[in-house]
Amino acid sequence: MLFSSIIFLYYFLPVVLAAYFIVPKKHMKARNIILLIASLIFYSWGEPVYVFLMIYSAFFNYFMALEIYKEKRKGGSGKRNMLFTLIVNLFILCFFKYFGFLMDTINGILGTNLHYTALALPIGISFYTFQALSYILDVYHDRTKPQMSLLKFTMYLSLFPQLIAGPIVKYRDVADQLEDRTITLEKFGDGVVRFIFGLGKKVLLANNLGALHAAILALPDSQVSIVTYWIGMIAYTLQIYFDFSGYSDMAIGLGKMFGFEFMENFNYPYISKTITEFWRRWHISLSTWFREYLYIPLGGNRVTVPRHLLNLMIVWSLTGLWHGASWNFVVWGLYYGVLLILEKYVYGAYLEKVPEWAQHVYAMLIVMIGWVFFSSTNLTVALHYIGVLFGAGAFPLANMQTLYLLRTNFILLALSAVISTPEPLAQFKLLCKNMKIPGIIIIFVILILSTAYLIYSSYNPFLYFRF
Amino acid sequence: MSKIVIDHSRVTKIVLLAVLIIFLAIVYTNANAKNVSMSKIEDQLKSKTDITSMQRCNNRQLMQFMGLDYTNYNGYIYYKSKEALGVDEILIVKVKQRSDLTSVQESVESRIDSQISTFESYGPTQVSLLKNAIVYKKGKYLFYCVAKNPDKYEGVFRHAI
Repeated sequence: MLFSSIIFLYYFLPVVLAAYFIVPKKHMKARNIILLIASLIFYSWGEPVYVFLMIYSAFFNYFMALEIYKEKRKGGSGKRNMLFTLIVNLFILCFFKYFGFLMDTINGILGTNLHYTALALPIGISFYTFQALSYILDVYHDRTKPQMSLLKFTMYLSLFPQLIAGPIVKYRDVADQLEDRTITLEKFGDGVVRFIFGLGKKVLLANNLGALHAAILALPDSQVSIVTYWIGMIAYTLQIYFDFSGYSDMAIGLGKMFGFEFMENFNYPYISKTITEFWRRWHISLSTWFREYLYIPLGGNRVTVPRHLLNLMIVWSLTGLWHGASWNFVVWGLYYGVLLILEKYVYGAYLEKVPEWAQHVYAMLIVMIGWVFFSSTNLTVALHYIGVLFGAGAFPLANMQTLYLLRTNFILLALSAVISTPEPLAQFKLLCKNMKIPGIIIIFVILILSTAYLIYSSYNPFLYFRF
Repeated sequence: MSKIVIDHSRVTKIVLLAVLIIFLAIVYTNANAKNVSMSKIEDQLKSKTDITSMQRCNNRQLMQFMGLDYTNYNGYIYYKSKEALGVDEILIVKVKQRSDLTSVQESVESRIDSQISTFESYGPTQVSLLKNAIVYKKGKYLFYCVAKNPDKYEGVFRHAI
């Protein structure tokens, strides 16, 4: 089930909220049970079989964390149990996500034709596996105590607001909230506003930008031009931001409605002036996860320069692979690894001296080209696309198709670019501070428009599903 | 006689591993499907059902009605009712990677929701057909059908793969 669907917005969510708030606050256990049941129904909506995998994962990690804790209390290190748990979690993830990729790679390298059955990816498996891994590692390193209640742990792992697209919520960040949560009318209202903003970003902006990008990709060669492909790349750049940050906004908003506080996942990444800054602002929960559970244990930057370079390349190739089981994702990750190394060791100091607008253009160009690797089905397609952007092939600079696309989509692109900066939200907050009614009207209009779009348009893709 | 000591913790881990392996084996076995060309499936549907009473749709219509870009898939069959108020349609998509099935399914479900909303106030027959829609995944295929007897089409599809 998607947040941006009629069934979620007008059936599932109101029923769950009603059931949740009918139960008095003092019966937190009953509220947790309601949230758990709702989460399992939400998860099993499209793929009922994989709900068993989710329940299994919850039980397995719950049990193993207690084993590690018990062993440590007896004076042991808990290392064997920790490694066993990591291996099983990663095995499950690899079995569903990377098995086909591995077989294709073997067939490609050896020229063999080994037959295999590729499996459907359980929704959100990359997100909940990383949450489970952070829990196990935190228990192992004594950064948190294990959860004694299976109900609360299963609820944490399967919590529907952040289940299918993050943010990747660390157990220790919400451990207290599993026990008790404060919900005020103001917090609930903030959650509703945040959710509707996210819905608007996803449905009104991302879906339309996605339709534009898909239409450009579907053009026959005779209608392709260099500027058209630039429009396609810009559309995708904005689409992925509004798609994913919109979903994160909805998750954070829903969390607030149920009394949770999740970490922010985006902080206006497209205003960045360097790639280092971009990755501090984009998918923050994933970057934090990799930094805390991989980069720092590898030694971080407190090692020799060659080792630091290796650490960065390991982290970034795995970041790429986390996003998808395909070589173009690995290349996308390595592309950022190399650029971050260059910024740190080669031209970072010079970059600071150029005008801010030039820094911004530099960062955005790199990010947009990166998205070509990300959006393409394979490396050949990505390289062809990038080639066209820079004049390879016999494509004209612009044609009638380009003018048509610009004329019909200019407002959408310009509006999206403006909304990807902090200013519109700052203005909205200022407006709400001075006058409540216009703010409420804006929110209401976004909800109505989004609903209308969901009813009358069947184009509602979700980019982060495949992760 | 020596006393047998049972290590409950170890037994639980072994049981958990066994459960996982059995589960994965079942999922893997059930996900298997033959690699059949779309034209063969279409031929079987044409000979065993009245699919030809519907209109065969092209790439543009696939995008327009289902929100699916044909370049992302290995093939598709899409037939739609010829009548303006008809909701009958059959879609079979063969994806490149099974992970793509989820997004195809979302598009299909979105289409069903959108059609139900359209016909809700004046087309109870159409709504009833839409509520009986079949969405079925096997291997790299997704089958979606809205028709008077969707089981018939599904049976032919299941048999074909």
